[in-house]
Amino acid sequence: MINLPILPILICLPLIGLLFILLSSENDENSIQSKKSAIWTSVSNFLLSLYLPLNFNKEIPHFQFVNSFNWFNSDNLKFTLGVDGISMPFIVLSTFLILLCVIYIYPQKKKNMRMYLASFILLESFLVGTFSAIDLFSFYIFFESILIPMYLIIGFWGGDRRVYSAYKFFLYTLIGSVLMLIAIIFLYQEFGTTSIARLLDYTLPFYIQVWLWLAFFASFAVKIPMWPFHTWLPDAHVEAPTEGSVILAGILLKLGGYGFIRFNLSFLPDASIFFTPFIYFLSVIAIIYTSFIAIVQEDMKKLIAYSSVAHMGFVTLGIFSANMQGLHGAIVQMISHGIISAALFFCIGSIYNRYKTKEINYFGGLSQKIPKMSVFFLIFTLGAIGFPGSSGFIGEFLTLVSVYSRSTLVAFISSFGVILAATYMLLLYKKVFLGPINSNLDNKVNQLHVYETITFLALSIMILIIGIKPNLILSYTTSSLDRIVSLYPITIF
Amino acid sequence: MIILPEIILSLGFLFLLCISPFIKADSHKYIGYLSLLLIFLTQFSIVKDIFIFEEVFEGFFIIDSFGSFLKLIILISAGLVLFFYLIVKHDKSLNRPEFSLVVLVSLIGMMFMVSANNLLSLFVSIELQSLALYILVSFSKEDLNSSEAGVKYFVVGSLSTCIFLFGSSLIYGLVGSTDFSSISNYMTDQPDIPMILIIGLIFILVSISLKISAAPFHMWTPDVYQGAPTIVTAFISTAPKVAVFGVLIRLLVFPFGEIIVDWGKLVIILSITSMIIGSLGAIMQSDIKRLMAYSTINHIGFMLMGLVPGTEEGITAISIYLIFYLTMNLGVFLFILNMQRDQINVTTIKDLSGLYKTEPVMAGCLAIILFSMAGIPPLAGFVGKLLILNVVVDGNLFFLAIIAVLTSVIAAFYYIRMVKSIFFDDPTEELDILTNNQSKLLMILFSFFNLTVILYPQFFLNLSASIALSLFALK
Repeated sequence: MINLPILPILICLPLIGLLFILLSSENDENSIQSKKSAIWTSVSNFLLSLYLPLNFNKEIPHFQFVNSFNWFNSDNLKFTLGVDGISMPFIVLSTFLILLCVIYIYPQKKKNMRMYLASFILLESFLVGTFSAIDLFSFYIFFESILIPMYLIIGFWGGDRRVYSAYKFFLYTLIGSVLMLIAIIFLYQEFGTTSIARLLDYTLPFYIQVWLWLAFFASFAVKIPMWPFHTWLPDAHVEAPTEGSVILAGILLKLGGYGFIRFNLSFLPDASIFFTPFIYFLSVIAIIYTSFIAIVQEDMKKLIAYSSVAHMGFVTLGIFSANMQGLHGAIVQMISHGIISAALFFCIGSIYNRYKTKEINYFGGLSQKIPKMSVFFLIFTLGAIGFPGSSGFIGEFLTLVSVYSRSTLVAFISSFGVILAATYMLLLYKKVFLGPINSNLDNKVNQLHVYETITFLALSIMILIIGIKPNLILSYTTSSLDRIVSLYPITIF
Repeated sequence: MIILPEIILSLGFLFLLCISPFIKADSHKYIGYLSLLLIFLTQFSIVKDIFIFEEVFEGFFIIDSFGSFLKLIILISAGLVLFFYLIVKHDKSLNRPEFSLVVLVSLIGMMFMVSANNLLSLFVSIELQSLALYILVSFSKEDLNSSEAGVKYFVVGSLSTCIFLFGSSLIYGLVGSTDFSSISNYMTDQPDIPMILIIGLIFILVSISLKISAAPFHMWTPDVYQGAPTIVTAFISTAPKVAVFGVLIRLLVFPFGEIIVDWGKLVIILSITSMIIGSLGAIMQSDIKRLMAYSTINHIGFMLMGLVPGTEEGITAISIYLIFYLTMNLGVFLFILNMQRDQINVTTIKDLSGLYKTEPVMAGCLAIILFSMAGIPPLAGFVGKLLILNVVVDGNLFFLAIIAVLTSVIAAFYYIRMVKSIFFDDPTEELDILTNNQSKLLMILFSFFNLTVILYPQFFLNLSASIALSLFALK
């Protein structure tokens, strides 16, 4: 087997592609040149990222494909990249979704298309960097860098209130993560190293753990987002362009969950146990409360945004249950939500492109207008509900099993979330796709064009594959999660 | 004895002064370029002797690598400002040979400042520097704002002078000498430090805070920044800040290093108020120059924080932050200098709107520099902030670190507000297209520097660490 420095390649390749996009001709009609460069970059990056699962050794719990670069001329502060079973699926998810976004963009016309594509390709580099950084400082740098392209995507190509939403997104996320920066510096000062692998060997006194836990929590709770820190999300989603929402819901939210597993749960076990009831409390509220809010939404994107908060509630429940089913459930739930919510946002984007509105009441009987889409949308809807056979089911089921072993009451209450999810998703489907054709709609029958079909097809296949054979993901994560699970006793309460 | 770079600069200045009346046309250009050459020569003489350590003029001045390093930064930034002056079009009133000459005088003052080793020589050199700056601020004679700013600057500056003199006289009365090493020796011999000495130090600290525009002594800054001609604002926000910061570091670390417990608290107060006022004050500003004044206050507060633990790492971090601060500030001011509509300079944030349409490259460069100022990774500003926070957390000053990061989030708001204007707003009236290729190139260089620093931070760390070491060698 050749030993490729695969992670640096995955990070640098988009940067090279970025150069091509920026240098492509400006006056070119439809910016075909830059679109082609973007497609080539993202396709090759996705194919290269498949190198990771193919050559991944499932038995090893430690970091693999490690590449380390001197940065501050010190052994303790290096620029280190590597993946383990927890981060690997997210890297593939990132490259996959960015690829779909670029395919989806291909037939469209937008102002300043070059910069739009450039932002996504830059985002890809940063996302892979965030998931593969195994050094605290490099993680922080990538984690924060994402703000710049995302701020521009929302603010430049967004809807009417884009500027307000872009501010809100930027400042909310920044204020959470600067507190994490202090925690990171503290860890560095305390142990003299920022290598995540080495930090795992140390334990901290309880009261310090509590403060550090809160600092990390501030960052990830905003990112994931947990109730009551979620208010930036509906705004950002509604105003962001379709592809922006896809990346936001598909990957950026997962950074929060990933951070919880990687930092709060791995470094700070005592504080995590201490705060578990608190997390359960917030998660249950998120699941129930935001589901109710989702039911009454009139904007499709806003509805999906609130449902994201509810779904992320399941993720935090699973993570802080800290047993194997819970963590497995959380990871599958994150991946599956990444795919499903991305798919739903793509669909809504397609509807919006045709009718220029996202109002639910504007529509009705759309299944007769765009029949193919109604099939896809049904698959995605069932996925979001957690229908058996779809990936959503695996995530929610595993999570609820694990929570049940910790607290029956919490499991009981949060299982209502599944019913509520069915309520708002099916209502959405009924109002938009079923019933008589709304008089607002013209008589034209719309077809999906080929790029949309590719996107939807790829996503629905992924939903079914993960739903039927979740072991595809879980087999990678098990050995890495073993270590974390061993930190937590069987009964927490 | 080595030849002092200050002597070269002074003699060169006198020579230029003598020949300036004899140049008939475009004298400001010739004198400007000759001044640049002179600055370059001076830099060369500094680099030649950068590792020399020597006390000269009976201990009135000291030559060490800390001072030499600061002199280099001062000369480089002043040289860049002079270069801006030469390549950008100005108001006619600025096109006089005296401009470069006055800049040179203030440079002489700054160079003496950072190598002063005696309260007396320090006082004289601060005065030399300040008097030149008063003239510069009120250089546009026809412009009322400029004159008003000059008067304000002068009044506040004189007040600062008085306070400095009062503080030094208290210390002199107690110690019996104005020499830094005598003051230091006095404190090591004394079992408890008399209150009067601390009061004297407080006076000196207040005076320096007035010069460096640390809150709550910042009131003059926004007015002067806005009123002064932009090129002068670019100058006073860079080189003098470095010089005064150098003086502050030298004073606090060496002669007053013994009473770090006392001045540490004061610097914490200065730093917290500066960060808060610097971040809150700028939110409602609509003029970029005024906004930059608050931004400077905020940055100064951040740097002051690094001084609190009084460690070598702190000084290293501050030196690096100063370098990054200069590149960011010079970049923004170079852009402001080039902001024109129908040949008239404009400076409000609104004028930036829709910049990406007319000048996509410049818009990108400016956005990079602004994000860097906000401290967003992976840009230079973040590296600077990271190093300072590292020192602060190392000193167990967690509340300070938390205030610092929270205020930097607030500050990020107004930087990204400018980014918003550049990219998101539709242009109302477009700015003139930038035809000045030298400015374009320099902007690209500044932003490129800010973008790539993350790849070689160790270079700056090594550089500054050796400098901080030389400062602590005195102790």
